Amino acid sequence: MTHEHPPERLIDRYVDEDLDQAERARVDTHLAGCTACRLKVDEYRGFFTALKTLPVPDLPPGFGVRILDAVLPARLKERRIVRVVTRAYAGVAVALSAVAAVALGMVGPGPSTALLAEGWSRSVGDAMTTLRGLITGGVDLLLAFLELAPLANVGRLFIRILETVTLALPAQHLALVLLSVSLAVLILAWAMASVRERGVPHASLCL
Amino acid sequence: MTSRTGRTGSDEPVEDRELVRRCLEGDQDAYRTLLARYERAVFGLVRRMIADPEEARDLAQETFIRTFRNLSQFDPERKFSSWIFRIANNLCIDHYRRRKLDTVPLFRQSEGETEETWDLPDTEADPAEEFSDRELSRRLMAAVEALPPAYRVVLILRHQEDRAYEEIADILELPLGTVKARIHRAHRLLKEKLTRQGVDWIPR
Repeated sequence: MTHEHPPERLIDRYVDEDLDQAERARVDTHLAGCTACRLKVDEYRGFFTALKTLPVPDLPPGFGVRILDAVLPARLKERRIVRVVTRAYAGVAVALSAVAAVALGMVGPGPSTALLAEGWSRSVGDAMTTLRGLITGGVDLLLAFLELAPLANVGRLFIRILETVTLALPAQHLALVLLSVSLAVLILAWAMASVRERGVPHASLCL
Repeated sequence: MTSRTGRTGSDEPVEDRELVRRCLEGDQDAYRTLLARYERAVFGLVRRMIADPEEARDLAQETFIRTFRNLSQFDPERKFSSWIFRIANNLCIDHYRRRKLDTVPLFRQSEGETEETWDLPDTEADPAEEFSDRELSRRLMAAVEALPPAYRVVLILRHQEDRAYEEIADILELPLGTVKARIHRAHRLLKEKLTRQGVDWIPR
């Protein structure tokens, strides 16, 4: 080996430190007297340095959020809450849209819609008390489930404002308000989901 | 007291197998430490194997989710790093099979083709050109990414992740000789290709 040039593969393994002691010693002996092979060794060293210093891809923002969400028990509970809240938002939006549709139908021309509107107004008065109780109870239950019971008063205040607005506005205006609120609720739900996807910590708690 | 980076009060890094044990006991900080320790390496490997950045991100995340959900199956006698890299590599292979992606448009191996028939096509080579470090890096990266996945993965594990041949063989579940042959073959192809383009490997 001292006089014969080692094959390229051996030079590669020599630089990559994949030779046993005896093989390494033989290559060392050859290199001591061979400029051409020392040049090859230097080339391989430069090549390996270039490979080792290639830029490492940057981690995408929020990379760990989905992972921890999927495996940590506390995150699983948090995610369940987010799911419930998101569904509640969607439910509210659909309900508001449905009421808006009914209100718009009431303002249409013709005696049949006028009669329908009159009957509906009468029954609304009777049903309102029961409905109010049901809604307030439902909001209290939801807030208790979300461990946000201190917000119950805020929920009741919101319902009272909604009642006042409902009774004060003409049907077409009410419909527009409901549709706007419905749209705002959907945009909020979408925005929070988007923020969470980007990995802002505890974004779900802002819901 | 263990910090988020998995160091103890004496500043000694906590061993992976100890972190796995803590994870199994429900220690959430242990999960975070393992994630922080391997997220760059796992994402780096998967990103080099999968061309689409979003698919690479999803696969790297799936690697961690599978790893963490199956920690009870981890053999403490083996290296955690080998285990997680193996899961990442297997997910990449599944991805190729599922999508039947052709991610190697310049350098492919078809059925029955042997390694010896492979070659990297030359691009716009100008031997007289002197390359800046950045340009060399760009060309080398492009050449690495044009390698078939089986060769790319060994190069990345060897040079970017600094894994020993034995560990690479363990990760890929291949004989040690096969791993060595692939690494040296990939070295020769890459080096010759870029040398033909005028790259001088000896720093001035």
